Amino acid sequence: MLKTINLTKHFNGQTAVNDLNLTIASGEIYCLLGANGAGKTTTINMLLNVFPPSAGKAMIGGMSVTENPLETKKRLTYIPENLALYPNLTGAENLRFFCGLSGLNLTNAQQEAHLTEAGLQPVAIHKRVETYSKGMRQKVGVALAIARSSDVLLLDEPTSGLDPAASNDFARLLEHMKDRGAAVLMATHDLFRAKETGTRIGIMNRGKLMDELNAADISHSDLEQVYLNHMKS
Amino acid sequence: MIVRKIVSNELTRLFRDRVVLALAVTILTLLVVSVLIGERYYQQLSSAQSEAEYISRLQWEQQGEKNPHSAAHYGTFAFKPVNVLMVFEPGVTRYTGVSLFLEGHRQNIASNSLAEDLDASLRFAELTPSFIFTYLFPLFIIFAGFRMVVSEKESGMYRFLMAQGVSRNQLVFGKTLALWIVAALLFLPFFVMGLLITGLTSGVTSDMTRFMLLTLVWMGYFGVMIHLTIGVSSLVRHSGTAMVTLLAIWMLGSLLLPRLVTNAAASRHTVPATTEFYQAVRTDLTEGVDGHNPFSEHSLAFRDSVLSAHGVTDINELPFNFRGMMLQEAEEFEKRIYDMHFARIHAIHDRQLATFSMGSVLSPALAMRLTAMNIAGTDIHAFRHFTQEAEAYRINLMRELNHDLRDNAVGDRAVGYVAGHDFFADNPVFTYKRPSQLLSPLVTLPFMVSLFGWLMISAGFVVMAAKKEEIV
Amino acid sequence: MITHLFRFEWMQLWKSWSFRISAVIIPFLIAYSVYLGHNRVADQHQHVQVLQDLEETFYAEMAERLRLIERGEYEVGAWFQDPANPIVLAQFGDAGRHVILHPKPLAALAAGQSDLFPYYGKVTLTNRVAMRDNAFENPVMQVTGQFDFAFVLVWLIPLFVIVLGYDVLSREKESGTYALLQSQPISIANVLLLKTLFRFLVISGIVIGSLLLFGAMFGVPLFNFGGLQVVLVVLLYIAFWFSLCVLINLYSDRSAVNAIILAGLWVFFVLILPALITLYAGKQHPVPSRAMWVTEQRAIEQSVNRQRDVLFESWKADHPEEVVEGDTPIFYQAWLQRLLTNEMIQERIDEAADRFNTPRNAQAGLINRLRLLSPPMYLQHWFQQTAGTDSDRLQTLDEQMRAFQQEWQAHFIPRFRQLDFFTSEEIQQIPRFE
Repeated sequence: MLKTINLTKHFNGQTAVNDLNLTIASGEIYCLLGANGAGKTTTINMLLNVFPPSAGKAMIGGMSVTENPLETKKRLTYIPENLALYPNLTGAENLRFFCGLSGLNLTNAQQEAHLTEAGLQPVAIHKRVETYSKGMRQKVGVALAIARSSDVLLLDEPTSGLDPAASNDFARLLEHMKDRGAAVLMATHDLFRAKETGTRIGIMNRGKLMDELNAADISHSDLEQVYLNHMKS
Repeated sequence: MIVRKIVSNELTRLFRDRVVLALAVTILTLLVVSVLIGERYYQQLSSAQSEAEYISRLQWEQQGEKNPHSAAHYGTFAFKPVNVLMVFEPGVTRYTGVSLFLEGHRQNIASNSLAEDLDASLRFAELTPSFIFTYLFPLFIIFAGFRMVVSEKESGMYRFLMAQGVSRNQLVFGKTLALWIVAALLFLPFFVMGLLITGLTSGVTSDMTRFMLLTLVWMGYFGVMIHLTIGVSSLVRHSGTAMVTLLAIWMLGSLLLPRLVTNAAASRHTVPATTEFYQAVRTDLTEGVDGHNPFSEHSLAFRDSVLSAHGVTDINELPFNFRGMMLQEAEEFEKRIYDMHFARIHAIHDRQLATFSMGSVLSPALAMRLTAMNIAGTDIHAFRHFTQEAEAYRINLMRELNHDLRDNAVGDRAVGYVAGHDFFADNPVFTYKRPSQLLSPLVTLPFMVSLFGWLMISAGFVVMAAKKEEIV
Repeated sequence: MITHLFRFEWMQLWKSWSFRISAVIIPFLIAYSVYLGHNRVADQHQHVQVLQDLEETFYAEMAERLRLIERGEYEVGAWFQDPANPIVLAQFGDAGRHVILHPKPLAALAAGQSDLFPYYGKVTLTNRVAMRDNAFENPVMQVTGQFDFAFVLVWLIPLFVIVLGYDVLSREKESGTYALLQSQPISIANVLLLKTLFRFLVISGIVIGSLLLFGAMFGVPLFNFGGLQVVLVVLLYIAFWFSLCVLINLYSDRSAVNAIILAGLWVFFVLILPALITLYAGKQHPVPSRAMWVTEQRAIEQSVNRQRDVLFESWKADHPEEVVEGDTPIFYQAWLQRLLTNEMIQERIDEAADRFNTPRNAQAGLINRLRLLSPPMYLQHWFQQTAGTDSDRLQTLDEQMRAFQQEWQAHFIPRFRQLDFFTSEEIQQIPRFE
């Protein structure tokens, strides 16, 4: 569903992403681990066609992102690290707005259903977003993915700054999305969350993918050890 | 100690802020240019005025041999004086006429205002210190200060500073002080120029004192803007909001309300049209005020009283020229009617001013401007004083002419009597003297109270903003 | 897509205080400005009516008196009471005609220079007196300026545009919604464009809607070609300020900086540039002080009067066929001479006035060219022209008075010189100012 082929990006002579090959199938949660500056966000930005790759290709649903920017964006939902919504609109209104941008018109019942499915408390649905916590805003983002039946979810550090309960909440939401058949790419530095939630784990350092592991095959402590080894090299 | 640190830190940051620096340089340049240009303009006007005065007097003295009453119709001119403070606050000087025709039987309106020869674009914006102080200087204060407190919150420095033991009070007062210092520094070069110009033109006189008073008024106005800027900056969350709020205050106070108030005042208290005015005077002269005692009756009664006082029955038996006496009596009679009608106009203007003073409660810019005009001697009262002095001179001159006719056109000289050069050269000369008091308290008091009130209330606003507890 | 974006933009706008306040204030300002303009123009119309009535009454009375005289039912005492006498008809008492610049249909929109220059004047054989109707106006009014629609549009509306448009993109970036928008299957340029377009339409709608509504209420004729021009100009001007907002938003991401830059541009275009242009033009073509003007006029009068006998005799020698010789009424010689000297004085005063008119025209010409640099300044001028309250039009009053005076003189002076008196029928046919 999501694929990068020899994806490379140079910024002013520095290589941010170096020959990256990723393949993420539907129903998979792929966690991309790496320190700050490893190239995780750059990768996501290329998948969003914020800027074109210097070399290689980013594909979503078999289409090149650069060639079909709007088509590919229709199939994905992106939740940035600090998901910002319009503060003076309610959660439901925000959902309706962003759905509308992809040509999807929701009934009130649908909005409420999607937001509830994403785990938002019914009382909060019609409150202004300026009263929301970060976790609640992310739930609106997930509701957006549900509403649009996105095939691909791109998450950039979604759990940073969440308290453990909210983080756990979010992890279960991701599993729900996985069960609905979404391909999830989650960039994070949270080793614990990667091991718990992810199906596969990729470790990036200085733009290169160093290692790929099956989350089920490795223990927490081994993952940490592997990660630290890659960081040193 | 902490406050001093905050102030010096703020000043360093402002001096490194390119936008603020560019604005300061722009304003300073505009100020210097406006003062230099204004000073030259003043010199030109001043020399033109004294030249015109000189020539006009010469024309009066050399009008040739004439019957004094012909000379009264020939008339002479009074020229509006200029004073050096118009360089800084031109007030209404551009819109009031420069020459006033003084003749028998009639009080005229000054004509030939400077504005008639200036392009319409001048109404848009005129480069004078008073324009810069009303509009641009407050904008500079806003631009320099709107971020001062709110940016600390936005960047998170606020919490850090609190953790260092700085109190919110110290922070806010420090920033206020810093903004005051910046405004004063920007004003300083202008102040020095102003002192030099007033000093060089008229020596250490009341002009210099007036200039210093003007400085106080301007600084008071800046103070209001400084306090509002810091207060708003302390209370909002985003610097964009601070900017927009302050811009709105500026637009309302400097741009919108002064116009709105003056226009509303003029439409509430309307002055008669010029033609209506003279028509009404004419009616009162021919039919009497409210239908009583028209001049035709008055003159008969006057003649009879003169005749009986001298115990004669015919004016030709009087020991003096009765026509000269009658002309003066007519002049006094007409003057009373004119004075009454002009007093009505002045009363309307005063009512308009009262509306302005109500408006100045809403707009510190209006309060500042009207106070400054009064101190500079460029307001409507200064102009009124000039016209009243000119009128007093006119009636004096007429009296002298008529009395000459009365006393000298007697006997065999009665027919074809003319006065010569010696007589006209002996007539009084009009020299206008400004009132020596620095300002007219009755006129300015409401505006000064408004301005001072704004200064105090805005200071209270800063104190309130500093007291407010805030979770950031 | 458009309707969807517009709907949400509307929800956003409606919830913002700056918009709500603007939506109330703008109609109020426009209503008040149009109301004041309407009053100003209504006053003018009323004055014009009074003057024309006075004129009609005067000549009707003269004709009536002459009719009585012709029938022998009335006798005049002195020559200056005889309505058949050309001089009396053209010069004495309330005789003469008013030359009037009637307010243009859209005069209510811009007061312009109408508080400085008269719009009517009176013409007799020897005099052209322009009457400044508002000479008693409080000059503080002129200092602060007129509150007319042109002021609201040219000065204030841009500030509202700035308040509503300074953060059209930067706010999205600052709050982070930009990231989310970017991941949507639409082009971000389109979103920006549509958002701005919507705000543009809303503001234009409020401005034009208020103008048309209050214009209709106060009798300003806007539903015609002139009104269409005004609407187009309003749209263009608002679009100009919105495009500045978009440009600045593309260039800078920080709302506060954008606000400063846009406010700075406003100050530059509205205050500083016009001031500099005026200053420059005044420096290039300085107009001398008028203080000397009155004494100059007086000097001209004196010098002509001093040689008037010589001038008169030589004129008579040159034009023997134009005058009546022999026994003539007492007023004849005196008025012949007076009319002649008056003509000569006028000629020489006109020549001397060039000293003021030449630099003033040069100044106006230079400003006319430079005005293009500042859209607000240009628009202000455009409005004054459309309203017919610009200096150029008001200053044509003198030309029109001059032209009419020539017609007036041509009608009366030859008959006076031939002592050819009028009949009551002919009084109906004396020239009118059209």
